[in-house]
Amino acid sequence: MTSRARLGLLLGWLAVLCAVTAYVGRALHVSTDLRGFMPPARTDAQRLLLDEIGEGPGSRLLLVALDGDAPPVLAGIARRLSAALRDDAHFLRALDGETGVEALDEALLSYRYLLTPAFDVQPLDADRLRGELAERVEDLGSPAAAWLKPWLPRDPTLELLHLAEAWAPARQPRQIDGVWFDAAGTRALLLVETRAPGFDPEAQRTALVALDAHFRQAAAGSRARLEASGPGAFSVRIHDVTRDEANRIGLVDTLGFIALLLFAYRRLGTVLLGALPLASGGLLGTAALAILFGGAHGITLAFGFTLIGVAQDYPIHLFSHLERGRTPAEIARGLWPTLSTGIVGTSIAYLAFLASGVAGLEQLAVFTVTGLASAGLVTRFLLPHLIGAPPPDPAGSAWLARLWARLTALPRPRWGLPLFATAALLGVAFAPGPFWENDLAALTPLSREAMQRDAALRAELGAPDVRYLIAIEARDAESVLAASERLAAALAPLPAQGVLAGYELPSCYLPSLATQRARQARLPDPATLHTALAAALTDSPFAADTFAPFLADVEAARHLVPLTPERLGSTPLGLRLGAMLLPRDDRWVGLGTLTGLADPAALRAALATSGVPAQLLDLKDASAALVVAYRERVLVSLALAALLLVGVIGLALRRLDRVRRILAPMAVSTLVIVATLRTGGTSLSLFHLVALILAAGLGLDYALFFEHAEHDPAAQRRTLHALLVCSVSTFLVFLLLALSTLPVLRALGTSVTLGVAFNFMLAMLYARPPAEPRHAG
Amino acid sequence: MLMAHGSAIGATSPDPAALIARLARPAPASTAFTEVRFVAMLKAPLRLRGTLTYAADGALVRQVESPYRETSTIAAGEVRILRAGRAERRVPLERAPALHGFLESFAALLTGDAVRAARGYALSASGDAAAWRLELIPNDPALARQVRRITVDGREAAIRCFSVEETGGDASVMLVEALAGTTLPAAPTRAALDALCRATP
Repeated sequence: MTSRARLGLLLGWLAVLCAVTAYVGRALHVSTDLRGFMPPARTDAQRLLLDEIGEGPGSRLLLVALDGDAPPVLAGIARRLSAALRDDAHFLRALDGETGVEALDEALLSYRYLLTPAFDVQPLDADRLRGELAERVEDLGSPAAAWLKPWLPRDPTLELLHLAEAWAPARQPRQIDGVWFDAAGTRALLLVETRAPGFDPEAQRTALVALDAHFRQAAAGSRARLEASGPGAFSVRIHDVTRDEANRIGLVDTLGFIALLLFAYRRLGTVLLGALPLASGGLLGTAALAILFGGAHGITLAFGFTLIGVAQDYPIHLFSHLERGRTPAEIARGLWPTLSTGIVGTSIAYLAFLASGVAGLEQLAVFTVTGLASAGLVTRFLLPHLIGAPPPDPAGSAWLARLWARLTALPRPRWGLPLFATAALLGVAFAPGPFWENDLAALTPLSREAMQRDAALRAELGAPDVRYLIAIEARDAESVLAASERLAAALAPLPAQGVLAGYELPSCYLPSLATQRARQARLPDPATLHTALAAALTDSPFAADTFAPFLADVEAARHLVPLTPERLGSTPLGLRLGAMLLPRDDRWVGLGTLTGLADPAALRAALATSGVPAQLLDLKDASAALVVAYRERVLVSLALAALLLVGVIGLALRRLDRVRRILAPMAVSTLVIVATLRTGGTSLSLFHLVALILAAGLGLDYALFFEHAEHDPAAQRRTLHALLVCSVSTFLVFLLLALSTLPVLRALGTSVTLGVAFNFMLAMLYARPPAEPRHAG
Repeated sequence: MLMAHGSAIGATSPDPAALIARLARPAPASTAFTEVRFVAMLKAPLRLRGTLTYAADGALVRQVESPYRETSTIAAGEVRILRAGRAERRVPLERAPALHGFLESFAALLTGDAVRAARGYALSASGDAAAWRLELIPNDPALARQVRRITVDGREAAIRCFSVEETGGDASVMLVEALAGTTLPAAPTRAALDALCRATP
């Protein structure tokens, strides 16, 4: 093929890739919601967990600390900041310690008599009023007089204040200038609730950017610093840290890889062409996601590109086998049976994910299979026609010849593989710690200090626990609220018993319609209230006509249409309630948050005996159960894949001893990797499993090519060259990941690095045909 | 007791800064007080007796002993009000600008800090050493919306009365030190109290 024709072909293919890129850019919606990677729920608790993870009120809370300046300055900033946040649609509420009455709009003020439980036991009669008025006189003599005075004519029992106090967190931190501070008095504290769910990093990022902008405005001219903590802030930080580190490693890897290929092939053009199969595979795989799913999960893409990195080996095999006297196309045709067996075998492992029932894993399967197949086909049918002058033939290399001689001279005892396998099994059996890591938190890249600071802030602020949640499920909002009221009664004695410090239920904010109507019915009619007030005023210093607005408010309250979640709408109270009372399909769920839960078993027992359709969700246990369920699915899929793999290899090679030679080194290598990780004290996570599949795919390729190695010394050297370039490059790429500080990247890196080493060694020793009539060395 | 010390003021109209400088007391200092509050929504003024203590750390403790018992502690930007058998009530000072202003002026006077007093108020003085009067008009708009003026009456280096006049017409007069034990009629008038505060020996 002429160089002009080659250039035309290359440009044509690049044009196709550009078109695909344009399509992907338009059609692919990248999602970051972690739930796309969760398996379907099996139990009620898991279903609730999946619904509420990231949407429950606890996970929306940001704990904000301001420090770096004098306490009065910080208090001023905190007040300005919380005022700005309350006006920002990204946030449902911002609390800085002020006991405000702003939770109740002016239009809702009369509703206080339907919302307050104050008159449920002792009615609003002359005795009650007499006691209240006596206290109000004392209030007028106290330093709080100026504050309370404007409210008294309208609200002599201070119901607005009582409601505001009931809606404030149960355990309050100390205050300076009316703003929450930590015990040391150096950091101002705020509780901020975002509208965005906690585990949607992109939406949380938007909220955090808004928070930061408001802070900079509120703190202009001061030295104050802001620290935000909580699930939302963490998910953003995890996202950033992982991406930054992955990008950094990726850059170093790419440079190192290019250097290695330049060293191996001495031709820049060859190296650049070598990028074509992987680039094509990645793009076509992404396009397949866009076509089949309309979008892709961010994790699918990140993992997918790591996994199809195997495809970088395909052009290497082609390049290393190039020789003068045969066209690249002939050589590609000769390699194809071996290469395609490897591609099909690896694809089968990923195809098994299709059966996992997890959306993210199904996407991963589509992406990797499309990507690997495309990369293989590009290597087979396009790349040979683009190669101009071939790189130096490794068959002429003297040191490769010596290396091959030395490698083939290594003893390969028949008992080697069984011995390795047995040692590995023993290692696994006696390794310390649990085999599986079920705690997702163990994989967090956050520093221990960050977690400790979060726990400390949470304790200072009395912020609800993110681990436990009470879920009340019923057919409509009214039933949930009614159940919530019964539950509130059942929980009332628990704080005194030390079971928990506090709780917040939906009915704390909005009583059921039945309760509101009952309270309305208990309110005295105008004549009765007038008489009662007159009686209470007889020996009170208050002037007789002071409380006309109060009489009017009570009378108005008697005729109000009771409040529903819809009627509260987007008032501050409605927003607050909206995070705790949500429609789910054809039912409604109420969520209760807990503070300082000390005895979950006692709480569970109290819930069970209350007769309320409520359950205590332990997000940690439920997520561990989810991880186990997830892993079971993946393992079943993998068992299926292993059977399929044996079938495919059997079909391709048609001889039992060849099948055994290919598969045994890979299987034993996998065992040895697991044993090495386990004896090192590592418990295996899902990321290790994914890495093991990747390593097995590499091992399959190595074994196929070693097995395929012809008896011609020149061909042997080319194969060795190809496998050395493949394994060394992969080893180096994943070695950098293994050195990462991030648990997820480290899990991938360590497993694959070990996998390359063991697979290469074992495939080299045991995949080659046993007897060679003519020894190469 | 807040102790009087220093020499007599000259016969000419007094300088507010010099007046304030002479009021400095070493903390802690305390005095009994009798307070009368005139509140529009009450038929008769409220009369309270108790002790006022200015602690070394700048906290002000106001203990009411009659007609009921109540302890208010004003420190770190908030008021904590405690009555027997009731939960403590906490009010941020900025919710009560009148109180904040009163505390600020009180602290400035007890430390003899004329500069601090002048920061928040326009100061003027009248009378003579035997019966002087300091007037503080708040500069801060938020405080000025609630408090029209604070008046401090005294004799030589001793304070006799603190009066706070609110914009809505309500007012309070606090008699301290020498006047704290004064026996008042059931319904004292502001004019009678004013006369008592300004009485010359």
